[in-house]
Amino acid sequence: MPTEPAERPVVARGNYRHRECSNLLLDIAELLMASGAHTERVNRNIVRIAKALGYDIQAFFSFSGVTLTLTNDHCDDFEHTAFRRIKGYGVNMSVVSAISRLSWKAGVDDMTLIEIRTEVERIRSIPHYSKIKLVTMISLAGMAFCRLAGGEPLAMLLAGVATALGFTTRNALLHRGYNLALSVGSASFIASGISGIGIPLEIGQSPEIAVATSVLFLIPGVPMINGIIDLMHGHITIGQGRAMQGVVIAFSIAMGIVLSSGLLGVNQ
Amino acid sequence: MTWILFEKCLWAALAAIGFATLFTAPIRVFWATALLAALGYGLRGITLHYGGDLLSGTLIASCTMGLLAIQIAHWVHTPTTVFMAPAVIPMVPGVFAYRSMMGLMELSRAQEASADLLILAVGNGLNTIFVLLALAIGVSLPSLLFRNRSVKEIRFINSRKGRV
Repeated sequence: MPTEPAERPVVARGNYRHRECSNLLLDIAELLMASGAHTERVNRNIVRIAKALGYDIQAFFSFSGVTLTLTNDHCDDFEHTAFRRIKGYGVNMSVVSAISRLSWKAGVDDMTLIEIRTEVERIRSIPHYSKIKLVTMISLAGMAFCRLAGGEPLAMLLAGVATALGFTTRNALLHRGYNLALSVGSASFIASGISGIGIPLEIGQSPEIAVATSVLFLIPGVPMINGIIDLMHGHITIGQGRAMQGVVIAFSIAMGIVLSSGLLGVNQ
Repeated sequence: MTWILFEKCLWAALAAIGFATLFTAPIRVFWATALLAALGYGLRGITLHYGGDLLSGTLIASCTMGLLAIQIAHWVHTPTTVFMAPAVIPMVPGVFAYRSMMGLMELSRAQEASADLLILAVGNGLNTIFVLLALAIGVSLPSLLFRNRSVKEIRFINSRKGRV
């Protein structure tokens, strides 16, 4: 148990609106970065909201956090810098869409700080689709991938089942707070292990297509594409970070496949 | 050829909708995702059929999708990324990435270094990167074209209306 601090920090009395503003802007930036918006979009959105609140901002984005400096045209000696860590990445396009709308509304409707804060908290609590819908849609997507790669109905079925189980594994592990690379590796092991059963049993004509496509739902498409977009926009630091995260995930997928094919005694 | 391509477009649309669900895209953009995914996949298929290579086919497809996305963004009231990101997922070169990764693994296990294995693995890896690059150009085409002003701002300035 931490004890009571010996000295309470001195709290500046009076005008601390800029702290609430920087806090709000960093919340928005963190939310957007974590939800899978590319960096230039995050930058545009927070600059727009800061304008609505009456500040100019300069921001620096890295993979692990955002630094922000507030200034004000009418006040020469005012400057306030703050930093926020980004704790984890999980794609949520509804958040990206809602905050983009908010950033326009804030300027046009002259929203106050509290109104924007309330709206951000509402956006933060937008739910994901239900588990059942997710598993159904993602296994349909797995089957579609298998068909696109030239699989036949039996291979498609195998890929669909493997995808559903792999996706459930990934979610269960991530939900319990396991490391992302470990969760992805395990999901890839389960998915490729189940779809790999088709190879020794010789189900269909080309059962290895099912193996290659049953792990495609794990492919880090958003970090990879966002990484390249960031590099093109000149956000080199975070662009490299995102691309590297994509590579790490790709290697975890490969490790899962290698383990499961070793276990099944199949040489790729 | 046409019938097979048409069927594949439908499967691409299904895969894209699966990913739109995974990315929690708002339900009102699903039609746009499906349409763009099918269109992109079809365009790439047509380019390949007429002798283009995978890279130029992907670039043509993703840029067409990016241009259409500018108009669609006004209809569904979302930024273009929201429906473009899931729509390009079926074209992400997963099989190339898989082959290049497996090639690297095989290379590390091979008894004697073989130049063929290396060339195959590196070739697949480079293909993955360039196709991803082509997709990223398409996704970011709206913001690249408008010099970092957003699609909405352009409309805002042109219409000179006070409301969004």
